[in-house]
Amino acid sequence: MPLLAEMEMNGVLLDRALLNEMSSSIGADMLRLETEIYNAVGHDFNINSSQQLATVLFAELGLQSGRKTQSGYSTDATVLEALADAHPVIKFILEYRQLSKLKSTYTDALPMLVNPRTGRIHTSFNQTGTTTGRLSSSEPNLQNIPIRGELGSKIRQAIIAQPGWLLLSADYSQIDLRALAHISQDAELIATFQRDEDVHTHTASEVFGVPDSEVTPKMRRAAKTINFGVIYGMSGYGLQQATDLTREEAELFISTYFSRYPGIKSYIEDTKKQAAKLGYVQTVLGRRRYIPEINSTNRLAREAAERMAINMPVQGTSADIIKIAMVELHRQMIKRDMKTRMTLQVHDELVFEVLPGELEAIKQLVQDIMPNAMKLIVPLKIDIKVGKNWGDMS
Amino acid sequence: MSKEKPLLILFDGNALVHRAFHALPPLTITRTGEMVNAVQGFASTLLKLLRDNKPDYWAIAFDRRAPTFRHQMFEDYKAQRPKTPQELVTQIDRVHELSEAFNLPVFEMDGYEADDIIGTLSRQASARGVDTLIVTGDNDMLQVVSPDIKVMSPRRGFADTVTYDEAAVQQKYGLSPVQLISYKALIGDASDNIPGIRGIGDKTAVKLLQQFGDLERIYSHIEEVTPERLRVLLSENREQAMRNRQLAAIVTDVPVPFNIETCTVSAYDRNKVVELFRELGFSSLLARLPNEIGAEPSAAPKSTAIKENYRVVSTSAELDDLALRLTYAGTFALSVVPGGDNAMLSSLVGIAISPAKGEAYYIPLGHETLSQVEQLPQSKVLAVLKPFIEQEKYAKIAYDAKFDIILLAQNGLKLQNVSYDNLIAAYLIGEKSLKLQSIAFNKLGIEIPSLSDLTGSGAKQTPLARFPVDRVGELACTDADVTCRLKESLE
Repeated sequence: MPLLAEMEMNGVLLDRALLNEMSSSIGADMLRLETEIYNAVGHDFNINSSQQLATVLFAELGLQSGRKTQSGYSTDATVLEALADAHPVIKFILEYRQLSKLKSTYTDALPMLVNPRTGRIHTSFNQTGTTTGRLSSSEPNLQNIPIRGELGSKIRQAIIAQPGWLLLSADYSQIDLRALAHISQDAELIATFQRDEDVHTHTASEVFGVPDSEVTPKMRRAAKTINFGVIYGMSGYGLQQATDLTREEAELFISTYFSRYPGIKSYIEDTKKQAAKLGYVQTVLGRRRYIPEINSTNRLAREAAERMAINMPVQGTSADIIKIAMVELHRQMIKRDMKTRMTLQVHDELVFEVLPGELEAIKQLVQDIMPNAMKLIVPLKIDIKVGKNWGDMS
Repeated sequence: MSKEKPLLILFDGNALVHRAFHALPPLTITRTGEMVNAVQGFASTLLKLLRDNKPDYWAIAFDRRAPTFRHQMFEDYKAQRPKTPQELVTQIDRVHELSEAFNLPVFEMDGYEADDIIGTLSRQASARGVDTLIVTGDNDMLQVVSPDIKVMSPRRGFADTVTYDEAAVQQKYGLSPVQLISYKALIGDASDNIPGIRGIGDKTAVKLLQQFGDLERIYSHIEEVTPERLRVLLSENREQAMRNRQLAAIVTDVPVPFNIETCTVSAYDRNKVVELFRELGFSSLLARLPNEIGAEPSAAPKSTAIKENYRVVSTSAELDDLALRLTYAGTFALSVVPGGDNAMLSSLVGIAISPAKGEAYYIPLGHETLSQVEQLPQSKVLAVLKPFIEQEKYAKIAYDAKFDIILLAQNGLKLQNVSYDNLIAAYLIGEKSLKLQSIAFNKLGIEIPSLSDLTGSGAKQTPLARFPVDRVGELACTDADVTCRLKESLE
């Protein structure tokens, strides 16, 4: 807690010139897209109004409308993505929306959050905002900057170190799946991590029955989806939605997955049973979460509670691990009287603003502490990167 | 409804609970897991009506489990209905409890449905010159709509409602309220398992009724019905149609003893409702609970439920006394009053400290309005408090300590050894609402006002520094006191 207060007070420095430049370039791109959209449709309208957009798409262009909302037909991303091939304008609209979101939440908004006294932005870390025990952050929420894509990485480039200093990022690799391996004691998953193999590639090889070397990117993608999805109670339907598998393929895929990873299957079953009996689930450290809805007769409530029950011990354990590491790192940094400061925690990643003379020392500290924060049956692994900003690091 | 005439509100208990149960997201009592979404929907609707419609009379009707005359008339009546889920049964019981606490008269009678009781009561009210608003989740009631009787139904998330008068019924169905009985007799009602006449759908039924008026007249002019196919259909199924009509018609002469005066909206036992809300975990509804029924909820901040030994520290001598007190106490709770919402940018308005249950001190630091009280210079106060705030040997109890740490740090004080944070504790034990007011209510059973009641929120917010020392002081002392008390009860 004192550490989080300190991190908030530390804040991060912003490259305002870069953000300004991005805002104008995104603005220009949006104007260009606007023209494309108007040309494709044949007239001007307000793209930001979902009502006007619905009229254009469904009434004028005669595209297939989907769900109805309070104010008319839905034009949300899922609906539009399904229509992507039906009309060229859809692609432009999706792109326009994405840019508009980035501009309003980041490139325009971040500079306004700069504290006039410190010249930095001080995100607020919330310990009580999630159901699993992860931290959440707000004003700004730096945890949901898009990871992929050129623009997401460019926004990260705008988070910089003070002149002459460096940023160091230390990122746990597959921490949730390692926690799952520990909790479920699944032999196959444990072995994968002990051999230090790529977990998604290996899952793909198990499930598709081909050697690791013959796993195609498509297979690996499907395996990745299921690795992350199944422990959150993803169904065959969910997998089908998330991949381009058919329903039958998805069902088969899941059942094969469980036959290859029987420990995970029994973890899921046992956890549901335990939760129903006790009314709570807990992390490896014993931090509990009460889920009385697990015995609800309302199917939706019960299923949501079951997903929570499966998910919380895994994600909660990861959250505990990174918190332990943070507290220990903080203690050691104070002990060594270091000038380097911890500034951000985003999911499984810690960011430090580093005095160049202390780079080797902090690297060593991070390498010593983070992988040893909790003793799991599988090794914990981190990736360390250094750079002048949060976007370009190596 | 003209406001000169008195107003009676009639609740259809079963229909409302049913509707709310399916319409509202699941909500359970944290500890026990008991489902209470519909109870909350009901309580919220009741409070809203009380505030907005200011009824003179009110009552609630429930179905009984015993079979009704409809079951005797028609074996399959409601036969398709699945067994009522346990979560609905318990919620209906809860609504009974709630009605009792609100002094809301309950009507129920073996052999009749809530609909019939409501139909009867509303007719009787009309006869006495009283307007009625029926609150139900069920469109069956629409047939009793008249110039004196309206029906209100919740929509979607229950926050929104729709009210039907005669014109609205006409617009929705193309029929008058009373014609709905014949309409239902013709097309049936799947939800009650009343089969309609095969081959007659919505459009045909409406057309027939618009032409002839009602079922009796359709049959008395049966030779005028065209085409022939329809005439044959109707003739062959006459008995069924007549039986349906009887099933569909709401009875308006149930032998229920009713004296409108006994339904007068009258004083209620607020504490009983508060206790029940606490048990149900409805802390969010508390603010909407009027002090007296029939009166407006007071706009002024509630008086604290705990009147204790709270003092303002405004002289050097008092500050020295406090320092001595803290030296002996060793542990104390604190509540820091900020100038704004952002701890990084806020000034210090004051600090409240509670070394023991029921004992709290408020030290004003940045008040701009000086009512009768003097403020000591901020630098002097902070210099005296510094050792207590910074030294490890004094354990501090806080609510959202991170905020206090940051705010104090901006003023040169390093808050150390926070041994207990009620916000985190409440989160860890799975409390749903983490506001200090809610935790205090749910864990200690005391209602405390919030600083934001004073300042307002959003654009209309007035900074706390502009309020007089004694008012902010009392609230801050309450916060500190409650923070101190909560540690015991959360541990």
